[in-house]
Amino acid sequence: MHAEGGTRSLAELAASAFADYRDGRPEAMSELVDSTTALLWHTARAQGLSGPQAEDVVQNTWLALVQSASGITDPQGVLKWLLTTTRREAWAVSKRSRREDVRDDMGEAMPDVAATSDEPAEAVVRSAEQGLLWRHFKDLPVRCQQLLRVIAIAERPDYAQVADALGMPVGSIGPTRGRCLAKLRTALLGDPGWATP
Amino acid sequence: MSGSWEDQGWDGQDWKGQAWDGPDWEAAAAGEIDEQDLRVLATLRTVVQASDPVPSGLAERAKFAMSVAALEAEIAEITTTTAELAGVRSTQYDRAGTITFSSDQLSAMITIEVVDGGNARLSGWVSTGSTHVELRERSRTQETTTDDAGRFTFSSVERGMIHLVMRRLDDPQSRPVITPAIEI
Repeated sequence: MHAEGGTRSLAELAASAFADYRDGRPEAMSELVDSTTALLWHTARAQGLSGPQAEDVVQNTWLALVQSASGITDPQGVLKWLLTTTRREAWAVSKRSRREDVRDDMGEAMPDVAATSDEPAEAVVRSAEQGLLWRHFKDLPVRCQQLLRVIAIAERPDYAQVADALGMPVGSIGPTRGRCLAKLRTALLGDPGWATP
Repeated sequence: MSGSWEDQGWDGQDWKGQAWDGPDWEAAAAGEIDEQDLRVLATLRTVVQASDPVPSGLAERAKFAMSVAALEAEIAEITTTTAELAGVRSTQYDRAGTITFSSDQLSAMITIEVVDGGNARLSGWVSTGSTHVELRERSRTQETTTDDAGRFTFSSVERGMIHLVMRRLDDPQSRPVITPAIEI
């Protein structure tokens, strides 16, 4: 999925794999799962789900694809369908688990759901550049963080479709940079620590 | 899904008190993605992948769940719990391993031997009468049918995760039986 130059479209790959699957090549689905699961994982996590919750959501999305396979008329829309299904299900799970947290009167509160998307990057930041980026990233509105986190995992030809599936307005990103990326870029370029190569 | 930013809960003022709207932001947002943007996103990708890696095995578990659902299959349980099985699953690929499975409909046993350091040979036995056996490898599928004694063989199996799907030919109405993933 991380093709050299980042120009390979996952949407096209998904479309051809899904078409092959429907033509009776089950191993095509295997390729589709291998190439797309990371994007679905980060979509679910960006909605604030815990690891186990996100795993369930991703798995259920794939199951739903098998069960809905005959109803998906346009293979070109498969990537968007997968992302949209993941986001909606993640949102529903996140809402449900917040409600359960409120009911939990034992005081043994689970970690704040929103905080799970707040992963720590301190521990994994390997360079000053990464630390700087993360600090400015955390200053973005939550919606921008959700979008850019998934976009960063996607390939460029898929940006617009990913943003659309995440429920962002048209023009949020791709082919133009959109407001979220513009904010992050401007903040970084205005920071003396972000050396310009 | 594509309403205005305000529909999405943006009030135009929610970022450090600065307005979202304004000629500078509009111009920056309307610009084409350039090398700087790609550097920002590449750095973000590195941080996100390191801080929140995709759980190992997630894709494999999803595929298995999909196969079960697509086939409406019964899942056989692995009944062997000996060191032999651990040998198959370990990284020491030079050992042979025997695994037994059982489901409501049938029992099966397979033996895996690595042939000259490359592919593996898989031989097995199914307790029912004539049975169609499908071997699902990573990128291909092989099929065979058991002989009169219930035996079957696949002489060249790719390393990696495999499943077997067994269909009883003596009872075409029965559900297929699928094994959990086996790593060879």
